[in-house]
Amino acid sequence: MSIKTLGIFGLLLALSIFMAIMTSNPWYDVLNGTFLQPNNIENLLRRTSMYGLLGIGVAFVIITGGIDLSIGSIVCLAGCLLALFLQVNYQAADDYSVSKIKAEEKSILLIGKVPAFGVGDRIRLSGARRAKNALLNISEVEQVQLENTQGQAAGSATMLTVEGDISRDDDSGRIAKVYPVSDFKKSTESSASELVLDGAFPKLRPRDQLTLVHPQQGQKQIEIVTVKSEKGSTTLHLQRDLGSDFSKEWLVIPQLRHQRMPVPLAILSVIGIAVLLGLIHGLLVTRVRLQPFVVTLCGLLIYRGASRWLVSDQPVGFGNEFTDTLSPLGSGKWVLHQWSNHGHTETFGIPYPLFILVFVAIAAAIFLNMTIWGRYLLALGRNEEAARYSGINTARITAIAYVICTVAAAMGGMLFAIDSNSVSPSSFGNFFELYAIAAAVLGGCSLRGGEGTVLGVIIGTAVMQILNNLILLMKISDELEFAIIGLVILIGVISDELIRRFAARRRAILEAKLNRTVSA
Amino acid sequence: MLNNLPPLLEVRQITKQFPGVRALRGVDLQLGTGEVLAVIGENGAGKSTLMKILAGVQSPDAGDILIDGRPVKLDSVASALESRIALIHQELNLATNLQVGANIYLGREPRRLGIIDRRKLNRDANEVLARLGLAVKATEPLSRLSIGKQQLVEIAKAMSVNARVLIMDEPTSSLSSYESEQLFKVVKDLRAKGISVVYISHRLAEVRELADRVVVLRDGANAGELAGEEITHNNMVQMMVGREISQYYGRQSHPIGDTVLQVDDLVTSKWPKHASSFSIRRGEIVGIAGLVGAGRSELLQTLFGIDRPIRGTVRMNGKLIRLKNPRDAIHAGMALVPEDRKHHGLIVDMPVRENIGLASLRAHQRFGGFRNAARERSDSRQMIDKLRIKTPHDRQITRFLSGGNQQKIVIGKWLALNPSLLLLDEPTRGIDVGAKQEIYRLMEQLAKDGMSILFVSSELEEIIGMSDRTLVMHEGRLAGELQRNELTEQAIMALATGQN
Repeated sequence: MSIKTLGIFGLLLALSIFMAIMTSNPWYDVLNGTFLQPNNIENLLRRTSMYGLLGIGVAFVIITGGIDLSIGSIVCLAGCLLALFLQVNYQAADDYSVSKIKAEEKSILLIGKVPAFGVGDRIRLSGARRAKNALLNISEVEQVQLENTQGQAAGSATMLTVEGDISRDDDSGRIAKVYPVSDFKKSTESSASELVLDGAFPKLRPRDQLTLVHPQQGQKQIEIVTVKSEKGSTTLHLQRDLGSDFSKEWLVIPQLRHQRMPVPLAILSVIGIAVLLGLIHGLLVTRVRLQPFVVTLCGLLIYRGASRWLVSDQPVGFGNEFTDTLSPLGSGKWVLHQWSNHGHTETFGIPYPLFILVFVAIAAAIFLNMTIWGRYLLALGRNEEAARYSGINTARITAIAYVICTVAAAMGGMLFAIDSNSVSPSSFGNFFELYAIAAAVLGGCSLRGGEGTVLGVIIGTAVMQILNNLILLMKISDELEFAIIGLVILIGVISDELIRRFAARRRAILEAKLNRTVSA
Repeated sequence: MLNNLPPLLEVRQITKQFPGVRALRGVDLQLGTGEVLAVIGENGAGKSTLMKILAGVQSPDAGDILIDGRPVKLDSVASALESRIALIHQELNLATNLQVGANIYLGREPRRLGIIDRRKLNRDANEVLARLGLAVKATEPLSRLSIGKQQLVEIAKAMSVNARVLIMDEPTSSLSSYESEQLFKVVKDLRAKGISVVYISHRLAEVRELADRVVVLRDGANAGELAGEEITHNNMVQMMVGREISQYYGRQSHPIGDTVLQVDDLVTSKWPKHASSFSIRRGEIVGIAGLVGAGRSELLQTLFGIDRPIRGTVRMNGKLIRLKNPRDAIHAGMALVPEDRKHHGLIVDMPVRENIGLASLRAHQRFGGFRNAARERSDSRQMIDKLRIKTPHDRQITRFLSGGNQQKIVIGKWLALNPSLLLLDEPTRGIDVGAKQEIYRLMEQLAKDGMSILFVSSELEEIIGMSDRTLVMHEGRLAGELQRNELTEQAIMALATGQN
């Protein structure tokens, strides 16, 4: 550990001890203080892990002597994109838009050849003006040719004649096929509720949903757990109980689940976009020779705006769609200890994001310390010209640093989004770049470049989080949060400067002692 | 000189010592009123140091400076200006974003009620400009003037303090010949107005045209003085050089092999009008001589892929190579020890070991990108031994080592790659005598082992002592090539100053 890292580690310890003592009452009962409560520690670890990713990323850029101000916006963009890529919607299996309804003739016109409906099928008309969710029977299906006003053929259509209530005002809407229930079993202690439908439903998959409708008693939505098809009937195991009022009068509309992308593809796509953005930053800095501050400041504005536009400035999230798959990645933990407290179980564990942080940190440390590119990065941060004269492709290495930074920010952004399950595009990730830069500076990165360690950045992040915790637990009004963070950054930069100046003075004294030749 | 009055400015036995180098060893100089005195000498002869002392930038260790026969102490630029001595630096010290008048009175703006009196400033500036016969207005933005005109603004600035002595350090180094002519006219005008000019130049033709008298410095001491008709090219060269080359270089003859480097029609971006062609053979040490700014460093940097050539081909061992970046050159077996060690040669805040390993990391990488730490360690140990780098350990920060040891680290960095052609740009600049000799021995040893060496040096002695063959450059072109038996300082200077 370098001296700088040791210094910040000392600060972390001191802060932790201070917090432990200050939040406990009486003071010597530190183990029961609020600070050392399992959920507080867990929360600290979780936040440190996510912010730590951002810090590690920006450290790479800082080592090149640059800066990345776009991190907060990248976090937001990554969160919004992940929510968009994983967007789920349910659509009735046989669901068609109605072209025209003639109430007197009780006919419904659908554009195109629609083979889904047959005589005797029941359908539900929804979205019409009057007939809200009217249930209708099909009495006749007819294929017709449409003509335009000139009498020329204008495509085919399907005309359904139905029995049931259609108001004169109804002239549009959607129709979906409904199915009768042939058998059902309400859930018992040993088995889940079950529903049997006549016929085969090859499109139905687990995680699809059923909309159960009753002519009078309204409707309910239940998720399917398993689908079993045999001999002309399909048995569905459901996730929830059917309810006490359920009877065979209820009708079923299967709702197919559409997820825009599989989870791995969505994550990879977000990372791919981050790589692209990082590459653009890197090329603008190295090839066009723009200042990193300017490039990433523009990034900050552009990605924030793009995020808000992408999701129409509405909060997005994942609902309950990924509670078993993706959500634990953000908010889950590896339970280490379990105990009972006043009748309810409490657990303590390691939050999963910490594993991601450890993995990324190890990879980053290996890159920085054990590969030739890491050495190149440190070298060019100190003296880009000398690095170039030594045959180092400084432009490429610098660009790689920007890519690493945006990818780390995107990973952090996805975790933040998964954890909070709600991304408000106008505020999500605001000021995160400053948290990350502050953590990196605290952790020993010099904004002049060429210096920085992964461990230092992580400890710096932890210090930032404990400061945040301090504001919370010590009941300091949170209006002061930014002021305190600002002060901490300032102190970091001041000590960096003073240490450097001290070193320079010592160096000057040393040089004066050495017989250094000055050309006349 | 003309009468019994004491000279306007007299310098007696000025001595100035820098650590490791005695820059001036008892130099005498006299300057009369209305005289143009040229001070000439090889690079490192002590001209610039002397001028800096006269301008109060540096103070002498011993010796006297007299003005009108009275001793004065010139311990700051302000005190020199008080004695009405002004120095015009080789590099222009002007603010290009300001107007001409504002530049002339920069830091001495006439004020009224604390606010710059712009009208007075411009009036005064115009007066000075008119006195110099310059067709430039005080309100013109400086950036719109040519470099030559800017040079004249510098002179106007000096005149605005009523200087009696004007020191001009290589004023024509960045001027076109037309601009130089203008400058000469102004200098002659100044002389006619009774102002004395100390004129430093490498360009002997200029000296012959302008100077009333020439003082020649060599190795920090007076080498002689020429006046009037004596000021001839030959006389000047003779006085500037003319000393024995010692045995201190230790060159031995050894066999020279096939052509390693073949350069055809190479045009550097700095001197787009001149193409250079030459070749170097295995085991050969070739020197490049010439005056400062003759395009020698640019030639090396172009060969090494740092500057893109405008055209031309370079072959290494018969194979055409690309010159897009230093990686190409390194790949082809070249290595460059640059002139500016601290900015281009080393990463001074990194340890010795990491600096030695920097260039060879790629060649020695393992598992597709992992650093070979063991190799790096053994390389650095080996180089420290072989080059006798004096460092407590190889994790020492390079900044704290002496210039000679730093230079050896730069060389060691390249030897770890075992290049076939070593390019050295002023390899012994700013290092002490002992380290110089070690570097000469190393060059000899490397050449004997079959490495080819192309080195640039401004020290004629070094060129003559070390090279098998010398290329002499003059204003961007190869002015000539001298074999070892033709190498004399006179011959080199004649080519370097453009006398064919």
